[in-house]
Amino acid sequence: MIEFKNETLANGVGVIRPVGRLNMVSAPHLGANIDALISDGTVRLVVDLAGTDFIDSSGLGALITGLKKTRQAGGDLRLANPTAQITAVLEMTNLNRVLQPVASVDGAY
Amino acid sequence: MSSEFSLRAAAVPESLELIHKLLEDLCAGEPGIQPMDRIRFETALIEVASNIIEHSRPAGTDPVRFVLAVECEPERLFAEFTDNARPAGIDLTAAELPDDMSGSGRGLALAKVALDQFSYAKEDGGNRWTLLCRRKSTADTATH
Repeated sequence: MIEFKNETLANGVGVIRPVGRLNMVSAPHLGANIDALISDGTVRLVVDLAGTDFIDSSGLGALITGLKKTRQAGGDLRLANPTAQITAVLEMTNLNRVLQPVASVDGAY
Repeated sequence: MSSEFSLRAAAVPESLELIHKLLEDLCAGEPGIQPMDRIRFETALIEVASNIIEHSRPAGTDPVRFVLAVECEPERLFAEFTDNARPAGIDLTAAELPDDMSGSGRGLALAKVALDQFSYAKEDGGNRWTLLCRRKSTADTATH
């Protein structure tokens, strides 16, 4: 099961924290969380992956779709604190070219 | 030292948790498995299982089920999925990574990149996938 612990920082950046595994079951929930923030006008997003144990191609797809939507709305989507499996999967798919992790949530923007 | 694990499960999303658990048990019993080898193997297993769960159609009246057998040997991690679904006729040579900005279509391509050998065969009464990950030393995985 996955849980989302989200917050909006004082500088208006939305932080999404998926806790658990991002897979074919939970990836649509990540997409829904991203869509809800964009609908509320929060278009600069950070996905904090410190608590995300595992990601599959569905999770990657949800991140890429979120990246496109935030950019279309004039914002961006950045990743923070990827675990070893997420870093490896980003490299294996070459998605580290477009989803380059930042050092920390606070330093994301 | 080598060990074998297997499970039989319905082709439903909830079964993914059983695969993660199987790998947890495998790694608990085989502490020499390098983290990067586990990452490659587990990622590929979940992608193949997700493909079976998402795309399989029943061959008859029986619901789709799969059997996963995993072997850990000193030089390799090996897995085989067999299922009772309608033969899918998948061409793994066509599984290539899509454009970076594509929101889907990475599953089997990711498994292919993660593994050293990957095969699919259509069989009478089902499908068979084999996945092989050669175990690497820490030094090798750093440059993988």
